[in-house]
Amino acid sequence: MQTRNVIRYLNRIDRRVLYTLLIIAITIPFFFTIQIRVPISRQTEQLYKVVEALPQNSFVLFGADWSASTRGENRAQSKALLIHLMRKKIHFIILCFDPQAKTLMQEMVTGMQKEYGYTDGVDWANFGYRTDQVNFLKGFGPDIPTTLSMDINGKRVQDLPVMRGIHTAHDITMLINVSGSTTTETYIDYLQGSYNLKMVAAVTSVMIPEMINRLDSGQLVGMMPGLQGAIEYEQKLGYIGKASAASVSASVAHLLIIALILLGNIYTLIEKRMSSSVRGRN
Amino acid sequence: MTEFSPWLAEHLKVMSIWLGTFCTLGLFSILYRENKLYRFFEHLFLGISMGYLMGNVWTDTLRPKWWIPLWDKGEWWQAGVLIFGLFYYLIFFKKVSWIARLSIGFILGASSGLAFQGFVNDYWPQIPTSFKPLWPHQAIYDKTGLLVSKALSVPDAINNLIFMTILVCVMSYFFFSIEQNNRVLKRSAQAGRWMMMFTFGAIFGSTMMARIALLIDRLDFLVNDFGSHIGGQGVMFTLLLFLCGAVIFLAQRTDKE
Amino acid sequence: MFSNLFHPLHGSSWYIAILGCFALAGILIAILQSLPHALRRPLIRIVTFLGGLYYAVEYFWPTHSMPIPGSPKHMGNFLTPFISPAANMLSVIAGWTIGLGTINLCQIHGKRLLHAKEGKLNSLVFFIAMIAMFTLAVLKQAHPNLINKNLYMLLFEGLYQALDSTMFALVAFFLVSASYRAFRVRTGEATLLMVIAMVVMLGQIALGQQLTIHLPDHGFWHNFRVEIIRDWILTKASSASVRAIAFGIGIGNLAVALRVWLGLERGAFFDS
Repeated sequence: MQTRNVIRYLNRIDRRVLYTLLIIAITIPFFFTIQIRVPISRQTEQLYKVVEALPQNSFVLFGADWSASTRGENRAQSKALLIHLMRKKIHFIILCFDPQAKTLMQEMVTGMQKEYGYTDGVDWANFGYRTDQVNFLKGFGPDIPTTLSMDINGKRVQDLPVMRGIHTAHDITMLINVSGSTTTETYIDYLQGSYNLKMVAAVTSVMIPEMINRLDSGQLVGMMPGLQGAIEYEQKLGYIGKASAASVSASVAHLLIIALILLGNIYTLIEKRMSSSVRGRN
Repeated sequence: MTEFSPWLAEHLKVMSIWLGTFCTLGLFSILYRENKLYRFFEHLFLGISMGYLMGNVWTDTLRPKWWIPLWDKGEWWQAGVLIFGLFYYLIFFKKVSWIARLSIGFILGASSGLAFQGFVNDYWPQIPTSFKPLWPHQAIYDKTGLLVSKALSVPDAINNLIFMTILVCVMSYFFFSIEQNNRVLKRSAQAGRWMMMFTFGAIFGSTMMARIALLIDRLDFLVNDFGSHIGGQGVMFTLLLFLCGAVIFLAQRTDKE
Repeated sequence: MFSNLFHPLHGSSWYIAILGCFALAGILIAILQSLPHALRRPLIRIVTFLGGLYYAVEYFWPTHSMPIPGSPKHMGNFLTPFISPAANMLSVIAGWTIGLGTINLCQIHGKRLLHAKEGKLNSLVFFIAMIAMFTLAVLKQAHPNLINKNLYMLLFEGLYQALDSTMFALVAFFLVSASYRAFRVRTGEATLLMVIAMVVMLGQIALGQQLTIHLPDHGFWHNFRVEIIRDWILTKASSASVRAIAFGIGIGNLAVALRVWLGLERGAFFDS
């Protein structure tokens, strides 16, 4: 009888109770500063090595294609990569095919530039949001200055010291794409493939299965896989950022989901057995 | 105005955090049930995102690439680009709406023309790397000492065999050109179906992290950022628990009614 | 002659040229409108074909060395120099299309407001939010003073960021509910899916990885570490399936593109 009551309760459990459990699972770890060292995945290790090996006079195209809808993962990834680039004093430009990324990246780099001695326009530049990625990249490859024309501050490409000597895609040392959508594929299709560019990507967890194939085929030379990749990269850099802080919360939330899946299946199994035994008696 | 500007600059962060909290909780209200507050914030979101997109299309694309060349540099032919773009809007006028299809068709055609390059650059590098070596061997060097082929261990060879078997099985599942009466093809397609379930499991597991990461970001904002403005993390956490409790209580009461 | 025609103009000649463009557009519309109905469909097909012709020919035409300033190794053919202007023009045209969606939304919400239908307050909120954000985004660049910048940031940070991220964060709640209620192992396939999902989940979290952290860093038992199993699942087993599915999608995409380009596609666009 007691088992039946438990089963009945589990069957009728309100969805808001599950939501509350999830909120508790995520927020409780905020009260503790636990740092768990994680093993570094092959993909993150490879990405770190590629960025580390960049020579000092390199020019990096930083494609930031994320928004608030994926910032849980992409923001930490972008910051980790920027820290690595800025520590190595590498010049970069930002290009966005998501309108929000323009402002988010501007805020992020402006907040960091003083610490690393970077100057807007000299060591980096933000070229903002552009429509129609495919056509834009077709024009961008053979003629970067004309296609970019001016940065988000309204300065012409010709007046930006960071753009000196940059004419075509052949002048780009590496392409980094932090993305929460299909822009990584479009970069591969219309820029990386045509100019044989060295390209790395930081992608959301949903995109990992797809992007692993690009890594295997050599289209990508490094990849940061989701939030876990960001945690690993922060660990490699030796700093505690948003990703590391979210590590335990993500763990507890995952464990809760696993427990709920198991619980849901166990009570269904018991319920089925009970109903079949009742049918057997009848 | 002169007083408002420094005041706004001083209070910008606090105001953003309070506004952000109202918006977050307003949208979270859907977790209780469909309600007017949620609809309000949903429309606010729609308006803000539309305005933001329009503004940025103008400031980052149309202004530098069209307006400045046309107005400042005197490139009068840019008016033709505007006219071509305006042809799209003929769709709103029934009598001449078919002319919009010329613009749409041209852009569709251009996208189709670009598809060849996209296909080649995207898939061709993946085809040769799908044929993986299956026989374990030592590293192979040419006469000059350059590495031709990396060493392949027995486990790697087994992994390669698994990879290629799965690839062929899944591809055979989508082989619809002939009826799958052949026993080998049938079995292979069946195995392909199982392998896809395997993959969907992996994708589901990965998806979970993406979604959880987003929620962590939002709760981090509520508890840590907003919490620090109302007396600390503990206060906000208690407030959240109280809200959850109230929602559960209300939900159960309405269920009983 | 052609290069002389495309020469920047200033002053009154600029205005005359612009008016001329619009007059030509008007004449073109009148000519198109006078075309018999039977000719319209073939014309759309021809324009679609011409739209794709440039990029297709440019891609397939053999290339040769074509040095350009700053890039002596540049390769191309006789069509390559036009890529940049064509791409710029097309991305500007893509920018113009934003108005189509905006008009559509304004029509829906405008009707609701004018006829005082249910939800009119929400429609009003939509209009106010859209106009405010658009105005500030433009003003911030045109007059980048402190007040414009801060008001823009207030709307961006306070409203847009919070609303956008929360909207997508809601999915996590529904996933949890679905995991408990719908993730049932009724068949063998479903069981496989569940087991793999759980292993991947365990392998991608710090606490999950701690379960097998004591296994050695090398050797046979190393393979039983949960993150190694996850890596194997993602890089060896599931990547093969994803690749097979992607090949299918890629060929499908190419076939559709070819059908559209050659006007073989049937349906609302080409038929009616």
